[in-house]
Amino acid sequence: MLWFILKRILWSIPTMVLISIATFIIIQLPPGDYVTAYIAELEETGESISALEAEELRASFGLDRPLVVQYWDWISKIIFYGDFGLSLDWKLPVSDLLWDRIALTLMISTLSLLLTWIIAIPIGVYSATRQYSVFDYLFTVLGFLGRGIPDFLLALVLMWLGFAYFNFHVGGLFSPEYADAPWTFAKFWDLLAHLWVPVVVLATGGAAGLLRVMRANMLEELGKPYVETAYAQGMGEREVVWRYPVRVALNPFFSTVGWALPALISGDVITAVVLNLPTTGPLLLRALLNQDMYMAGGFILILSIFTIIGTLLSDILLTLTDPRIRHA
Amino acid sequence: MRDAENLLEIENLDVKFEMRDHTVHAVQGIDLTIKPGEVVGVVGESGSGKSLTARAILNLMPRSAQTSGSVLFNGRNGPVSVLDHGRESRVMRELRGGQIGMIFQEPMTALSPVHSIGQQVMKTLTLHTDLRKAALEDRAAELMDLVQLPDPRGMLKKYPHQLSGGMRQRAMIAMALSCNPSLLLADEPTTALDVTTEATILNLIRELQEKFNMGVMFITHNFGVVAELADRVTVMNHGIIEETGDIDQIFYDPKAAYTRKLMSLIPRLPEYAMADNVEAMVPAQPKEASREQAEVVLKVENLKMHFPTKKDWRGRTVEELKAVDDVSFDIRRGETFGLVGESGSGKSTVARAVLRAYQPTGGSVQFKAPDDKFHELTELQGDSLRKMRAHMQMVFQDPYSSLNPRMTVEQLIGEPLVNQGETNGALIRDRAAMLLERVGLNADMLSRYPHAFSGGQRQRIGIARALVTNPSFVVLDESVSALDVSIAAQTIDLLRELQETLKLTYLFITHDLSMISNFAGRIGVMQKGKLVEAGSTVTFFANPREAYSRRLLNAVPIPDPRRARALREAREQQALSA
Repeated sequence: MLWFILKRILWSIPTMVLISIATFIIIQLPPGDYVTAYIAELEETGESISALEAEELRASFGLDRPLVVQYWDWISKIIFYGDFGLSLDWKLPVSDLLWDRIALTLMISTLSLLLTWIIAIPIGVYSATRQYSVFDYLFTVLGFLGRGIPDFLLALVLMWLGFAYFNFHVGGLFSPEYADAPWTFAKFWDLLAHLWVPVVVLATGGAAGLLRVMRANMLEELGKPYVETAYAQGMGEREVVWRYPVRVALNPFFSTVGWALPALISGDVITAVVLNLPTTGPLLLRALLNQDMYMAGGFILILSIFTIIGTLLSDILLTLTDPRIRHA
Repeated sequence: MRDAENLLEIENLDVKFEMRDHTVHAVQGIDLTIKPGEVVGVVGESGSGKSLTARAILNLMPRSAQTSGSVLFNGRNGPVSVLDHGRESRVMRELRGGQIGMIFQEPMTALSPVHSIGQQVMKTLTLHTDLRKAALEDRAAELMDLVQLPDPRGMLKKYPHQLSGGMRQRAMIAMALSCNPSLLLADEPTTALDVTTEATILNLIRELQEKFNMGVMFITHNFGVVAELADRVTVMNHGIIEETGDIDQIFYDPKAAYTRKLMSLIPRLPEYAMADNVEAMVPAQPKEASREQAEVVLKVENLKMHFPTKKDWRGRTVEELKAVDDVSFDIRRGETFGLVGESGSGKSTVARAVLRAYQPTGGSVQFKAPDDKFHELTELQGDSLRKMRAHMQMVFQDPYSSLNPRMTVEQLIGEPLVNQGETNGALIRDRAAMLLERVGLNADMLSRYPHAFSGGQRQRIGIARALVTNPSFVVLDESVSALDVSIAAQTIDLLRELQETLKLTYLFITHDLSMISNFAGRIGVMQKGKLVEAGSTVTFFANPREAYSRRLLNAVPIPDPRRARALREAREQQALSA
């Protein structure tokens, strides 16, 4: 068991190296570089710079050196100093821009993931144990509706409702007066007051999909002979259902926790843009649009690392919950 | 009928299901009694309502079931009319597991995969007794010992997937018996097991039944198993009882026509296999003589199929499973070679390696194609292998999962032709129609999907699919094992008739010795990946050479209660003198 975890951790090291190389290649792939994009931007406003100036600009960003050198320069700073480089676009250190937003993103996403599970698991279990009942049909309809309505649309509806009827400011995570203020209890309270909207929006869509998965998993498990064995032992329905099939039906959840983590960070970009959330999604979008390579690279790298950590977590959870994997 | 001495009294039990446009009468007017210490065998084919009757005793039928009649159980606290109590009622929950134990068919899936054996056994004990903690564990270990599982304490920490089928079934029995039930319901408890394991489990059930004077309802489709165990037998068919009687009466003087029909269809070991004086009984074997004349069409030499089970960090195999280890045999044109053995002995792997579903890790397989030349199958690749596949086909065990439910019968039967590059739709259709009729189905069924067919009909579709490319060699992998007695008998007849008219050569993989003894000309016995014995069927059954073969043969349940009793007494005498 311990050896298994250690082995997984060791394996993740070469994986990260490969990912960092792949990341670097990806951010180099689009034709042109930041300077080209910069020049284009200047030309739009009628200004222009000479070829010499452009070369100097390139040199000052280190864009004229061989790729291998650029890669080593980039990755060694990250490893040894936690320095993700300078955002060419924002003219600020990438790490300053990122970490702030990652914390908020993690908070929103974790809360919405929890809410998703709290909604989806009991309803899924109920729907499966009372298949074709009135409530099963009702939840099915609601589930499809929740799945069918795009998150951003739901966000718009909530914003409109809040604004038109409750005189409630729902965009962003902070009221304007707290946005740049230092952390105080009042600011925290303000955050909570804003937080529920994106959390609910993100959770409904997820829960709708997840409860269908849970229902299907449960239906499959409920038909298995071991459930009948449990009844024949003398257990009541509630105990049978929660003790046996639910545990097995949760396995697919555990194995996808790993993917939830990176999805949490990249988040629902559209929803975040609509709701004007200071999360990572919009930042990544902007970095990609502007060919802000260090910014985008740092992003992709962190996402990848979260993917690896998430997968590791999944593996560990699965070995804990499923003896068949533990002994394999 | 009312008799205080009866442990269980079922009177006029009816179970029906209202479907959208019709009603299914699954059980109709069943009367059944079980006395304390009595073993009642309930025999019937699938769909006869025997399992549902057992569920009714526990009041654990599907929720949509509508019942009438009465089920009276004389429990420790007086009689309980089972059907008058709710499914979730306290009374019923106390009976289940407490006074009525039940064991199921599938020992793999009937235990929770995520709980240890100990957790599951102790769960029953906590539900029905005051035992806790150390006392609980002691009792659980005692039960492991009772069902003769090795290392009782260690066994409690094991999970189902770590145990063999037989061990799991023992754990299941331990669970059912944990609270000293007075009635045990056993629903096909040995059907999924090997003959040798089946024999030990049957012995165990008998021993424990006698020890605790339990009433047992033993549900099975196998008359051989009933003969070994039952005091009385009830024969069910389509939800009604055809007849109930003393075991000897059912076997030697069956009254109902249905019982007589079933009796005549049971595959039995040949007489000489059980005689003491073998020479007098062995018939002259014309098959053997003709076999010598026929040419060899399949030569298997030193076939090896090793699977890596553990690799080191460099990816080199450090441990491997020798699923097939150095197996050699040959098959002659028009004969049936039966390959028998316990599950995991490698017999199916041999078939798959021969057909090149696997790439064998060693040895050679030479096949004589219609061009009258031998081809080395292990060296064929790509297109030449695909062409060769037209001449060798396979019929699978499970008629349900071996047919894609989203393909029509025409597509299913025609698929091998399509794989061979045939593009003429009309030709495929004609050929599929022809074969469908050839296996006894109607050509107008071509556009239907598999779900419209019964198990027996599906197996016929599977056979038609195997024959569509006109093969000369067919592998039958447990092809009748999943079928009911009467359907299996019909399928065997069909296979035999096809073999004669189409001059087919069969490799028949099976664990059913009774069935194969009437079909194969020669038999090979596999044990742990090795072919331990091969020879003519007569020689094998009359005088098996290997100890392992004898053990297999002795374990076959014989549908002859007198003989079963005589054997048992002889064994007990032996045990006493030893």
